[in-house]
Amino acid sequence: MARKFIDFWIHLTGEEDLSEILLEVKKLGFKSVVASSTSDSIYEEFKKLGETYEVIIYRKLVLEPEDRMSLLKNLRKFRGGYEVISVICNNLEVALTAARDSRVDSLILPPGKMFRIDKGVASLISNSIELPFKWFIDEAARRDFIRVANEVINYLSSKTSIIVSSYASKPYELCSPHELASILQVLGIERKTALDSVSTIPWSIIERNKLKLSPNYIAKGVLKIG
Amino acid sequence: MVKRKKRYIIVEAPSELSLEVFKKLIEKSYLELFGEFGLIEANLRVIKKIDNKFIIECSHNSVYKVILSLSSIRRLDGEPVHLKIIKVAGTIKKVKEVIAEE
Repeated sequence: MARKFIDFWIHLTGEEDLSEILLEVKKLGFKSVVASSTSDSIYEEFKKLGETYEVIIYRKLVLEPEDRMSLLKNLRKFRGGYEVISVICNNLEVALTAARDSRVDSLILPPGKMFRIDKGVASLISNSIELPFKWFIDEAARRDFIRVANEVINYLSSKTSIIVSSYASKPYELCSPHELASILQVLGIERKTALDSVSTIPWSIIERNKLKLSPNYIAKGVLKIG
Repeated sequence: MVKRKKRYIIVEAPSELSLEVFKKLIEKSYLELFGEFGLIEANLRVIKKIDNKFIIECSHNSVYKVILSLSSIRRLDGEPVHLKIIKVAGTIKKVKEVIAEE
């Protein structure tokens, strides 16, 4: 069976033609995209256009909290409204909190992060790690991004799942699934697992969250039937 | 002597891009990412340009490195450029078929 590819992060700023983005997404072979946006109206328009282009759109919230308390506050406030929540971890306190919170779907470690991932940190991380490919394309951030990706693969690849997303906000920043997976292959991950990072792993997160957001969901493993 | 397996990558690029410029672009990008040894190991060659499509030949275990190098090329003379990978094929015959279909 053919893989269903998903781009786990597209950022909509409203400056670009949304149908152009969707057309490119479709051409590149994605079945679905997860989009964050600067306003609700842009997202609604994008979702509507997605139906025309037969691309399934999910909504993502990207949090960039300063400390633990603001992260927890935002998670309480927004978890019910979004299919995916990702956290950009600028410091170790946020990273460790986000890593253990089941309401967080993925952790994003920015290229300029001021902490190291070692065995101690790795032992606490249970959520997926997301690597936005845009930072690889950006020449200024590339070296730091590769360093972070290398750390992630060395310490975390055996323990947690890795997702590669494009973080594109313009059509020419979008990448095909094989391009996204190639970064993991170069860093030593085998082809099948690398392709899982743009297909089965993000799909499983979406499926899990769709179930959680459904009105029939009561608790983990408990569903209202009928 | 063991025959080295090759792969062919079909890349779509802006039509005004010449074969020489494309060759320099991909080699520079590959060199930046994987160094001289990597470049030699990859046996990278741009063999043909048909319309706006370029055919790259490389060793089969360097394909993903070439793909990554191609995706790192996003600007040409300050203008945004997107090189689109159409197909990775194992034989020239298959490459010709794909180009004919396009």
